[in-house]
Amino acid sequence: MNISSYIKAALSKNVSKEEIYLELLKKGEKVDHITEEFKKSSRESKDVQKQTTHTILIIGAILIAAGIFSFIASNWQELGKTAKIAIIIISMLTSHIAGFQLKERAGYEKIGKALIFLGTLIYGAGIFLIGQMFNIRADWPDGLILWLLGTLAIAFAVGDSLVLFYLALVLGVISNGGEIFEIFNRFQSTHYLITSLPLIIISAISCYLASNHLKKTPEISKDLQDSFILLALMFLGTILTLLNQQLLNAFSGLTILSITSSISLFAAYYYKSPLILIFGLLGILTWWETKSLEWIGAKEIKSLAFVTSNILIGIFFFLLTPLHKNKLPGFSRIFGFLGTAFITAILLILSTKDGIRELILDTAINPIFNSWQVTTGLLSLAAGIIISSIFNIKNQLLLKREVLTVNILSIFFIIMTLLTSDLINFKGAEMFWAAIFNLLFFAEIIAIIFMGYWRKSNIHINLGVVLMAIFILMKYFDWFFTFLSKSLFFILAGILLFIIGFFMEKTRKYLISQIEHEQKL
Amino acid sequence: MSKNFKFSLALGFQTLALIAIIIYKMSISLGGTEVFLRIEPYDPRDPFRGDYITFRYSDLSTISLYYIRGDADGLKKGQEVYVTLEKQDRFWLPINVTKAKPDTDELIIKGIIDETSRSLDTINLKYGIEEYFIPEGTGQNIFFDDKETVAKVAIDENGNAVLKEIYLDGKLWP
Repeated sequence: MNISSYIKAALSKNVSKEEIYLELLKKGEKVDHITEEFKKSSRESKDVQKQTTHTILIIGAILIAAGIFSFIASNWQELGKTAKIAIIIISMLTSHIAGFQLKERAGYEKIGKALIFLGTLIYGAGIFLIGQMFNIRADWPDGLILWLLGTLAIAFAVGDSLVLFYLALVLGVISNGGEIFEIFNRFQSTHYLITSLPLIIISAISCYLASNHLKKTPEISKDLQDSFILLALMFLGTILTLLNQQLLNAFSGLTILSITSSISLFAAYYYKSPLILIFGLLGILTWWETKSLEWIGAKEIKSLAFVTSNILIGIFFFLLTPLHKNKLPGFSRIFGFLGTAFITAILLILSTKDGIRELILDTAINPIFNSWQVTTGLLSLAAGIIISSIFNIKNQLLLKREVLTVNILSIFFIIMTLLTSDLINFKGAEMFWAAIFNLLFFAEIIAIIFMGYWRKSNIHINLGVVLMAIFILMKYFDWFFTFLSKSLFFILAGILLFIIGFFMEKTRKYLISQIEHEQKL
Repeated sequence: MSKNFKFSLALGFQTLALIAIIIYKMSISLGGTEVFLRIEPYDPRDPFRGDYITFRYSDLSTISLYYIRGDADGLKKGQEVYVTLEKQDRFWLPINVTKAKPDTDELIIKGIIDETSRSLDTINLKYGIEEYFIPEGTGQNIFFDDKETVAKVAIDENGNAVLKEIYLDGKLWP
């Protein structure tokens, strides 16, 4: 029984403390335990009060900062440069000093921190107002970086103001934002064309130090600590991009992305951070998807090689999921999600009319061996699948039938990739491959539902049922749309959705009740 | 290190950062050579900093490869170049472009290659002075097409530039 929730619920109904004690003692709880839970509940409600005060003060600080800058903006022409600069610097210093004195000397911690936060907002806005006075270009990342560094400096000095670290995080992400998207788009950006490399190096180091500083405070969430490592890695990517510019773009943006992402993957395992893992995986996957398409196009290899590589990636991630479950459960969830997403997406696309046509009408004739990069990639993935399959079976992390199923799927796609065009495109090929891939997709959905049943996982069951609904709906649109009048089509589609919803609910309840029944036994 | 000392250091950093930007830009603005450059404006808006106009420099933003001294094939996006300027009538025009800072008494401006075009034999350059901030609301319903638009720019001996003012048909704008 969850005592904490019981106490909270009872207190909210104005049940007296004595009655709560009596009730819990009757249920077999110990007095010490009940007292401890009461204390915790009281601490939590005080925390809520503290948090509310803090939030109100922060909003107040933001409003004051906005007011100061509205004043300057609306009197822009009346105020000379000296007056504007004086207002900015004096208000910044006043806010900071008053905040520090209130916090450290007078004991008004919350209002002190809020004033320091206000001072940092004034500092940042001051950078951009000064930039405006001298017509420094609008897209000026150095301004954001100076704001970030100033915020981190005050955050280190104050020590316990989380809102300053969150502000620094936001500034770091924004200042990297343009560059990161451009790296992902593999085109060099003008965002950092004119910027300061030393500032970015200092930012990377500062973010790393911020993470170390936050680690010393155990109550601060690991995600916040890891966010600064991630920010440091993003700045590293920017440093490499700038150095590359100085080498007259000797390397492509994608190469920089792959280097940064690989370093991120190492960092993810070192810091045991799911957040950094996601960044690293997204980067590597973006690199692979873009480059593999380039290599396939350049050597005129069948696009099925691209499809196969994605299925193999999905299967590899699926096999990595149980390997991480015990020691790195966050990683396990990420690999599980990505693995399922990749396999499902590929099978879904191949099960559609357009997907099948794309497959069989592909006129490329060269085998995959024409591209050593694609061949190496596929062989590496195959090796990864074999090794992780062996580990899973040896340590009994997956059922043998699960490992066998995914390996059969891998072999199927590898064989397909090696088939010549006349073996793929023959008379009746469209119906043949439609049957195969729709059966495969259907089988995958059933496998997910049964995996949920074997592993007693509601998430898998629910996912399987949702995918089944999507499958049925998609096939309905695929096959019937051209034959029915629009109004009849929509009525039937609506009725179909109700039927699907009813069976979804029934199946879910049945499978979940089976699991609960077995758990009770 | 006491908390007081750490806080003072941090505050000092913030104050110095603001003053450093001011001093750097003022040194170019007051100490640099003032030149007039023709511009071609268009009108976006920066949500964080109010109204501003963006423009290109008619004679400097796109330069023919004819002016490049040295190997033009080696030029790439993101590369820093130096454009030597010469006054012709009121305006300053490019006379050559070099990859390294030239040893000359002539006026130079530093730019970054934004794009190279082999088909047109030109390079596009950015100088960091392509935006001009104006008070909110003053930039509306302004048409630049039929007007002579000129920028007054200060350039120091290292080629760093600060945009000071914009003139429309000889009058300070806005």
